Amino acid sequence: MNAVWWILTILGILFFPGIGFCISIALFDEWIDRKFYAALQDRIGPEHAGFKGILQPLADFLKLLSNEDIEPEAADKWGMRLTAIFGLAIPLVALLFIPIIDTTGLLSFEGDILLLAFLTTMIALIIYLAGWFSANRLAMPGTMRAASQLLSYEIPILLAMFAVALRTQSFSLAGIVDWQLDAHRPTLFSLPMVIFFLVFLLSSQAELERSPFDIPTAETEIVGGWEVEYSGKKLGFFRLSADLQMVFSAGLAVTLFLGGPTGVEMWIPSFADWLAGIEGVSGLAVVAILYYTTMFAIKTTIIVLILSTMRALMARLRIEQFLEFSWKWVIPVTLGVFVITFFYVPWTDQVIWSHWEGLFEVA
Amino acid sequence: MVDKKKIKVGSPQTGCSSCMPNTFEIPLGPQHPALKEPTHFLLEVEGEIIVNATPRIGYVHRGIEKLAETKTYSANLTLVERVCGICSHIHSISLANAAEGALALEGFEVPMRAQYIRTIVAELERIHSHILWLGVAAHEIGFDTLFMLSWRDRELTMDLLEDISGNRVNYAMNEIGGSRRDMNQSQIDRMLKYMDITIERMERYKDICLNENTIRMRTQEVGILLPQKARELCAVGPTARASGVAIDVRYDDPYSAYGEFRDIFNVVTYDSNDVFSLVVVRIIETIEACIYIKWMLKNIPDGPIFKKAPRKVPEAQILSRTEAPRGELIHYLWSNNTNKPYRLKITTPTLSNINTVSEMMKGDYLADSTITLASIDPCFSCEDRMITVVNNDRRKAKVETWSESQLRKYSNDWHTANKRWKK
Repeated sequence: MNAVWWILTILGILFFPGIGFCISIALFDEWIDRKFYAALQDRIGPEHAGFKGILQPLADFLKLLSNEDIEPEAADKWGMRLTAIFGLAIPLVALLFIPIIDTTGLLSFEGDILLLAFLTTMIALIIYLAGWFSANRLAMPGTMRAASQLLSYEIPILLAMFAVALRTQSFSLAGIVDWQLDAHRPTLFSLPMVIFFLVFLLSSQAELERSPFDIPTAETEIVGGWEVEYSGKKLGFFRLSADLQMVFSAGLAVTLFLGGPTGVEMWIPSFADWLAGIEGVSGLAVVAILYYTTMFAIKTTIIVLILSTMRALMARLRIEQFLEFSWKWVIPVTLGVFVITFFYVPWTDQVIWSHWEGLFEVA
Repeated sequence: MVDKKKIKVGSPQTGCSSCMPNTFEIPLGPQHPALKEPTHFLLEVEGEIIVNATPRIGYVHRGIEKLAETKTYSANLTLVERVCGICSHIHSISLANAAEGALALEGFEVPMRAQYIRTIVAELERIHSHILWLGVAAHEIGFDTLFMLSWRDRELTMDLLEDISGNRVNYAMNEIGGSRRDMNQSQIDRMLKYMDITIERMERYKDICLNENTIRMRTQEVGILLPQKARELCAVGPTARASGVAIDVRYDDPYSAYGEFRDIFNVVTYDSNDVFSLVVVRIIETIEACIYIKWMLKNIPDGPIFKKAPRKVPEAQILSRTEAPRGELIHYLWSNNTNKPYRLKITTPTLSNINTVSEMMKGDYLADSTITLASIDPCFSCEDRMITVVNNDRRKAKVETWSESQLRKYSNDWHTANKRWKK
C-alpha cells in the first residue's frame, strides 16, 4: 500500500475504469440502445450530434442540467435532492466492483457479490423513496408499482447471482472470472445456467424499468410515475443513473455468465499465458488493459442489444399481470432450478464436461 | 361471452374506514400525455381499480356553429372542414349533402362522378384515421414498435390524398354541387397499387394483433361495453359495432356513392365487447375500405364533376347523417332561402360515445384507463361545446355562470381598482 498504489487507485476511481469511463460507456450504450431500437422500428434515431448522433445522450444530459429545477412546495425537498444524488452514486459504486480492465474489479474482496446484491436492492429502494418524497398524486401509484415490482424481480436476480456463486464455489466476482478461465468456458455453458442467464436478463429488464416492464414510469398511464415531479438536474441525474444501471446490469451479466472481460484466451492457453506475462511489464500492460476493456465493451453491448430487442417486441404489461408472471412462473422455476443446481450439477458436470476440459488441458 | 368483472363499490373495509377514505381521486386530464386534446375525467380509484369516472368536456369550445351562420354555404364548407383535423372531409360531405338535399327540392342533382370522388376520398380518410388510431392505441399500451410501423404504412394513404387534393389534412375537395378536382388515370392506377399494399400490411397487423400475447393481455376483457349498454348509451360507429350492434350509416342510410355497392358492403362487427374487439373491428374495417375503394375506382362513371348550384338554398330543415371514421356524424341544417344557413348544428361521434367511456372504465385497472379512453378514438376538439357546470357538491369550489355584461363590469372594476398595475 505505497503512495503509488493510492494515487493509481484514486485516479482509477475518478477516470479509468471508474466514474469517467463508466459514464462514457453508459452514454455510449444509451446511444447504441436508441439507434438499435430506432432501427427495429424503421426509424433513424439520433442523427445530428457527433458521428451519427453518438453525442446525443451527452447533449441530452447537459441540456437537462441547464433546465429549470422545479421543486413542489408540498414535497420533501432535501429528500428529493438526496435521492437524486444517491440514485447516481449507487450504480457508480456498484460499477467499481465489475471487472473491466482486469480479471478483478477495481475494488474486490471475497464476498463482494453480497455487497452488489445489497446495492441493487438499494437502487430499487431509492426509486421508491424518490416517488414517496415528491408528494404527487400520480407519483403515488408509480411508487406503489415500483415497490411491488421490486419485490418480484429482486428474488430472481439474487437467486441467479447466488446460483452462479454456488456453481463456481466463489463469492467474489474475481473468483467467478477465474473459475471460467480455469474451466475453459463461460458459466453460461454450464448446464442449468442458461435458465439463470435468461432469468437474469428478464429481471434486469424489470429492474431497469424498460418496456415491457416500464410499469412504474408508464408515461401514457401515470405520466412518468415516480419521476413525474423531477425536473432539471435531478431528472438528468436519474436519466444518467438509468444508463449506469443498464451498464451495471449488462456488466454483471457479462461477469457472471459470459466470462467477464476475458475473451478468446479462454480457449487459447498460450495467449492466456502471454497476457498474464505482460501484465507485469509496464509498457505492454496497456495492451492487456485495452484488450480486456474492448472485450468487456463488446460483450456489454451485446447484452444491451438483447435488452433493446426485448423492449421493442412487446407491449407493456399491467402491474398485476407482471406480478402474476413473476410469482407464478419466474420465481418457482428459478427456485426449482436452483435446487437442481445444488444437488445434481457437480455430478453431471464431471461426466459431461470432462471431455471438453480435456481438450484445453495445459501441459 | 365475457362477464363484466364488477368490483363491489363501498364494500366493508377492514381497519379504520372512517379516518381513511376508501377511494381517492385521480384526475385524467386536461393535461395528460395520453390525451392529444384537453378533456377531463375524474377517476375515483380504490387501490388501482377505478370505481367511477366522471367526464367533463368543454375545454376547447370554438363557436363554429355560431360562426357558420355568418358565412355563405361555399365558405361554410371550408369552415366545417376545420372542425376535425383527422376526419375533415366527412364534415364537408355532410354539409354539402344537407345543402344539396335542400336544393333537391327544386330538382337539383349532383353528378355521379363527383359523388364517387367524394366517397373515394372519404374512404381514404377512414383508412388513414383507423391506422392512426391503431398507432395511438399501440402507444397507449406501450407497444411503440407497432405505433411506428403502422404510421409508416399510413404514409401511403397520406401520399394518395396529397396526390389527389394537394393537401394532407384539409382536402378541400367538395363544393356545393360537386367536386373541385377530378382524378386522372395515373392517379387511379397509383391508388389501386397502394391499396393492394395497404391491404397486405393490414392483414399483417391483423395477424399481429390476433396472435401477439402482450397485446391480447392488455386489451382483452378491458373496457367492456355490453351490447345492451351500448344501445342505452347511444354508442355509434366502431364503438357500437365492437359491441355487436350492427349499425353503419353507410349501409343503413346510404349517401353519396355508398348505395352503388351496397351488395358488397359488410357491416363489420365483433362480439367480445372489449378493447380487443375494437382493435379487430377497426383493422377489418380498414381492409374493407380498401376493397370499396378498389371497387369504386374500377366502376367510376365518366361525366362532369360539377354542376353549378343556385346561390340561395330554399327554406328547409335537413338532417344529414354520414359515417365518419369514428361513427355517425350529424349535420342539422336549417336554411331560410338565403345564401347563408339560418342554423347549423353539428353532433360529432365523440359526443355520442363519451358516456360509454365512463361505463367502460368502471371496474378496470387504472393502467387501463388510457387505452379505454383511446379506444373510442376520441376527438374532443370536434365535439366540444359550451357547457354550464352544475356543481351540487358543497365541498367543492362554487361554480358561477357570468353573462357578458357581468364580465364587462368585472373587467372595468378590476382595472379601476388596479390602475397602477403593469404586466
